[in-house]
Amino acid sequence: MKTAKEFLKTIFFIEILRGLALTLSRLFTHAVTRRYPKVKRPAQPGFRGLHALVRDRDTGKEKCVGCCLCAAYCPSQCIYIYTSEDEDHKKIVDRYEIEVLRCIFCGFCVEACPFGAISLTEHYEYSDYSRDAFYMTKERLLSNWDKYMAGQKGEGYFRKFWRPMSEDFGTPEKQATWRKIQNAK
Amino acid sequence: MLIMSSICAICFLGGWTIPQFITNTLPFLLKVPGILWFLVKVYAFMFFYYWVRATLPRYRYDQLMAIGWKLLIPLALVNILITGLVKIMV
Repeated sequence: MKTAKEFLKTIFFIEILRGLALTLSRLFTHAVTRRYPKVKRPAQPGFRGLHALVRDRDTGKEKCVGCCLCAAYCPSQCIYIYTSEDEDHKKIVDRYEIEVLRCIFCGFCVEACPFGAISLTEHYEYSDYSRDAFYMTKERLLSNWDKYMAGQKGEGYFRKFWRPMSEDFGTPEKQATWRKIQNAK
Repeated sequence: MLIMSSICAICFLGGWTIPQFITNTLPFLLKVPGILWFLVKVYAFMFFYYWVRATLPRYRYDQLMAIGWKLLIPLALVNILITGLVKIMV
């Protein structure tokens, strides 16, 4: 049996009235939502957005050497790298392409890269009507770097978020190179 | 919602009129057209509509049935009984 107090509670809808009081009080507070396209939330540190190939400040070209570690590590296998050899037996990256639609943004490619040549920018608004827009060629990836990682942002990127936290990604000393053959020539 | 609120305003809040005790104290309010009072009442009901819908977005059906059958109908019957008794006694 219900007690008299509980009975009165049900009769006068006390619980519902308390809910109504809560919603009414919220009517006079500020909204917790943002007006998204107008008010954007800044990306959190280490945000994994659209890919970019790091442009070397000294040479003005990509840092990538075409070792294919990122492509080997990529869980969704969406990185395609085509390399060739020039007269000096140096490896040239002819094509470096990422199918962004298949990417799962795990960031393994950035982790795998021994040269710090690929990065994930904080840019995430790149919807489009065609699939071609999501097929990133080397030129587009480099321009992504110029667009979204210019200045301080790009300089601090690898130091802040990725291990080993490195100041400079030079060629590792034990890295296999064609130096001997070059010298023999 | 508009129609339901209008019916409610007419049935329960006196439609386009305002209570006597208000007009007695503030006689100039009689000059305000009746449609304005009516609209105020309708919008008050519509606000209540939105208010309840914002508070209880999906009232569960069995709870709704429980309120209707176990609470509101018995209360209405008791109300009829008490009103009748009062009418007889007084």
